[in-house]
Amino acid sequence: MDSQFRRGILEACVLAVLERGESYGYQLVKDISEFIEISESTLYPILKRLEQTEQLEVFSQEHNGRLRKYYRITDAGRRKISELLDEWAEIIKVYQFIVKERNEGND
Amino acid sequence: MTKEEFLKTLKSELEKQSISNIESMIEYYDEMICDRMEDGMSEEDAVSSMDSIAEIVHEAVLDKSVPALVKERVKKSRERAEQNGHGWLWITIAVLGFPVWFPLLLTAFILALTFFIVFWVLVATLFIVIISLGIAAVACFVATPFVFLGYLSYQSALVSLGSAFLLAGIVVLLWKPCINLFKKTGVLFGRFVMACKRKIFG
Repeated sequence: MDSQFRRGILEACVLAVLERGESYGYQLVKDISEFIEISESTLYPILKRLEQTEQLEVFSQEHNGRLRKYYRITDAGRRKISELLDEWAEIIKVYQFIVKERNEGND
Repeated sequence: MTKEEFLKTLKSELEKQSISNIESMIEYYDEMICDRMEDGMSEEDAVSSMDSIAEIVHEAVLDKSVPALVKERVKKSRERAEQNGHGWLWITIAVLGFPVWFPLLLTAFILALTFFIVFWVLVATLFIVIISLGIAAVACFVATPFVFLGYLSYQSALVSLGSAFLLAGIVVLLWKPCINLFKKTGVLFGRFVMACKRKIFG
């Protein structure tokens, strides 16, 4: 998969998981890797970018005597998900068009 | 590998690539390993289940923002240009300044040579004086009987013999200190020349 495209998808996945409720790094990796392969080192830049673009906010909370970073989605993040879904709806239309054209061509 | 070792190696590798925000990255991986250990993994397993350090560094380099990459590239090429520029500047100055620096250098060299010659002439003069005193002493000693026979006078012969002892005494007294003095100044002079050589040729 094209790496830029993959990043876009992973960003949407992170946001989608966070929409359900705040979460932390390891939990995000576990949740997302059920559907698409993701590792810590690919998650880190995604979280950074989402934080920089204020689509999520970070806060530290004590957990078992150490600080753990939690991520919470912002309104900008929620808007981003709807934008991405709209874009994908278009992509699906294009996808169906391409498949149909090919089928007709083959017939 | 322990968590500490992993994080330490990771940190040093990231520093080599001049990645920004290394601290927050180290915190992130620290947390990841801790969470895995809480999940029931041993420290060793938790560390080995992480991506390799090479992969993490690779991701971090890929993620450097485009402006940061461009800035880095521009900085590097500017440094290179400056280095080259300075090289040419120095050559230009050296060529254009030839009429100035060459006579100066020549003067310095001739002055040094003059000091060198004067010093050794002084040494030679002092030794010639001492040697002539010695010869005079021997001459006086040898002349004593002839003086006695020639003038038939005790007084003249005594003066001659006395002069011989006096001169010989002066030579004996001066010989050792003079040798020492010139040895020492010779060593000092040699050191000075070596120091100059080191300063100029490194």
